[in-house]
Amino acid sequence: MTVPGSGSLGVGIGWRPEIDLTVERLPGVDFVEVVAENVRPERLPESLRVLRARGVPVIPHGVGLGVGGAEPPDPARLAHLAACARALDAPLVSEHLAFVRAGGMEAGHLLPVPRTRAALSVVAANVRRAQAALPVPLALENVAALFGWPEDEMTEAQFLGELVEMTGVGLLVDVANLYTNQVNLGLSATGALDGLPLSELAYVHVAGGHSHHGVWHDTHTAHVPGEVLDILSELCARVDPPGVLLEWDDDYPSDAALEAELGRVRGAMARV
Amino acid sequence: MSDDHARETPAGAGDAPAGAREALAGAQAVLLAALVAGGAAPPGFDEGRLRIQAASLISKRRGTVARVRPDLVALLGGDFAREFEAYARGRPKPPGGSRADARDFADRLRSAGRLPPEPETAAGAPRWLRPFRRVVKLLSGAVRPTG
Amino acid sequence: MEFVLFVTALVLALVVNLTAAALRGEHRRVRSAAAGHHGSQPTPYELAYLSGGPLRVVNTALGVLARGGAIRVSRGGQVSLVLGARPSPEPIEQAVLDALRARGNSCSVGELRRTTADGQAMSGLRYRLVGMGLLVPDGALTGAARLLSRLLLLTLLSVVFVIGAFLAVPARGFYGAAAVLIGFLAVAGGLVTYLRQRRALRGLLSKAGHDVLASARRVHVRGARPTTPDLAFAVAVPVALYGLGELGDPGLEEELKRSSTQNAGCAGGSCGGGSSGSDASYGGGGDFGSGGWGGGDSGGGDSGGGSSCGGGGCGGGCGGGG
Repeated sequence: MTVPGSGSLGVGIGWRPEIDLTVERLPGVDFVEVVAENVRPERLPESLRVLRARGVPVIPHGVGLGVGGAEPPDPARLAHLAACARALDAPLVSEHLAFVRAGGMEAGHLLPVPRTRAALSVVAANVRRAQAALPVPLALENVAALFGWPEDEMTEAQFLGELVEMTGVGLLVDVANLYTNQVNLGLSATGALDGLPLSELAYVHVAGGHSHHGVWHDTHTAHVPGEVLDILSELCARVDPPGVLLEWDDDYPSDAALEAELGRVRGAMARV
Repeated sequence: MSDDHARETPAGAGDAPAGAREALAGAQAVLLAALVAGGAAPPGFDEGRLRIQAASLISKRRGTVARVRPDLVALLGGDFAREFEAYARGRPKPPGGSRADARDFADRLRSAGRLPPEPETAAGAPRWLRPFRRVVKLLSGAVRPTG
Repeated sequence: MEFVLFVTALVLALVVNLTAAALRGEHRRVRSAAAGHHGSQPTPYELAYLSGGPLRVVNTALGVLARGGAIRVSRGGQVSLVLGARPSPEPIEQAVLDALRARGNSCSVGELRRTTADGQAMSGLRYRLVGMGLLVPDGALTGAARLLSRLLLLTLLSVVFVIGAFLAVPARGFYGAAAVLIGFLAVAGGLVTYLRQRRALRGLLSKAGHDVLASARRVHVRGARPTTPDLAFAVAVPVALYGLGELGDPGLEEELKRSSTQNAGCAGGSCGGGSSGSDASYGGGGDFGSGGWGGGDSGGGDSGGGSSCGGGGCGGGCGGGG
């Protein structure tokens, strides 16, 4: 049912340096995620060492690999992810189905991949290289897009499904990104859930954002809207997710507010 | 964690068909140039959507630079967003990340006369000089009882 | 020659001693001469100033704000503003919040402490205490200040003398050795008195100030933490009177106690590393440096914004993360 390595993670929160003490103290944090590019495996932040000593799983979450790029993944970046996984004794590593650089330019962002057969073969080859370089399973996250490629031949769910079949990569489903694509691109979130190979689900991301002139901004800086929690409930009706993680990246509210937010996530998971 | 996981797919096995990487590289480079380097939108894309994406990339850069250099935000006030937009439009993020982006932005402001020369002095003397500054402060009696 | 040195040493030591004694006398005179206290019950921040000066005041505010959830302290002594923090009626607390806001909502505890200790709210508190007769006004200290600088000068002169005497007389007899020893004692005595008095003369408490402080310490005994939810009593008064050890939160105490030297200031942007956001430090911030991994900086986001963000209304919030 679940991806090897993810086991049962429970409910977690994205660990960030600004809220390190908060994360350590919050009740009900079963696991955390750390942005891999922000840590040095040979000198882990003390807070992560404290959490690890308590047995809290810490998952390195990469944002700069760009497995959806045309170039094979950078061996140095892969070595860093592998070193993070080892240093944290992580059950798995996660990244995104996206490209982040091309033609010598950095996007500074996770951009969607053209969903064609030809691109799929490139991404699958990239994923295999990444898997070979990592000591633990890899899971890939669906991204939120503001545009699609004209040559798209399949939906993101189909593309991920093919990729999972070809490589055995795990899935990190971000329900806030599904919601973002539903609002901004008119792509049905439940339709995406129907198409995704949820049997390969490693864990789930949930986050809040802001609506600005009809466009949803997945800012990770606000309460999770009810609509996103509804999609989480929909997902939980289909599969028992190994883990659900709240992402909050800036404008952090009080400890009590974060605790309440984790409670809302648990509530949405139990609604089924 | 087991090191033998994923060994069933050895490195490099089954690489993409010939030409697929080159085609993808070309398509992504043209698209990214349109988004961050002022290039023309590649055919078939929704140009309005690409404009939205390009603006979003700039505002994301702006947010990061604002966090790295709050002094610039304070200095420019309401002009910060406009000045950053003028700097970043058509100019890809420099190698070196957000720090480099912030530095280039500050350089541009300085050459346009919007910044006093070398604002870094606000941060004080270089790191190695700080202990000496402290001694000077101590001798001048500026150190108060601690709480 | 050695005898001349000996006599000079004696004279120096005598002058240093007399000056030190005069300084101590002036100190006593100034303190008892200050106006008597007619005020009402002192506030926690007034007590903090009397008890430990401006830095104790700031620490009290930091403790109250952190325990009250208005600011957040992270490991390494980085302080950040909590979303939705309400303005504080206490000028010192508000000064801390304002300083944070002016620095992009995040700053090292050292920088915050320095800024607030030198700020207007602190001067206001000081003036009020002087007005209440609890602190000795600055003007009353000119005599002591003059004696203080005279003592410093004499001490430095003694240092020169000791070094000179040491070098001038290679083979020392009794008088030469005694001259060096006496000179050395003069230096030591002068320096100790100088440092002690300079410290004591800063924010000098009047006799009345001492009485108010002593009476507050009798009412609020060290270690007796009131269980009231009112932070003014549960946190402010104990920290004001006895320091951060009375915060009742060892983890928080440890981070708040970090000295300013451990953290670079924020002004020039050196804080960037402390804040990660979805992507801030990734690619060049603090720990990561500009080395191997910094170059990429693709940011954590995968949705980001839309058309309307460009105008600035969205601030940094548009980044979004994956």
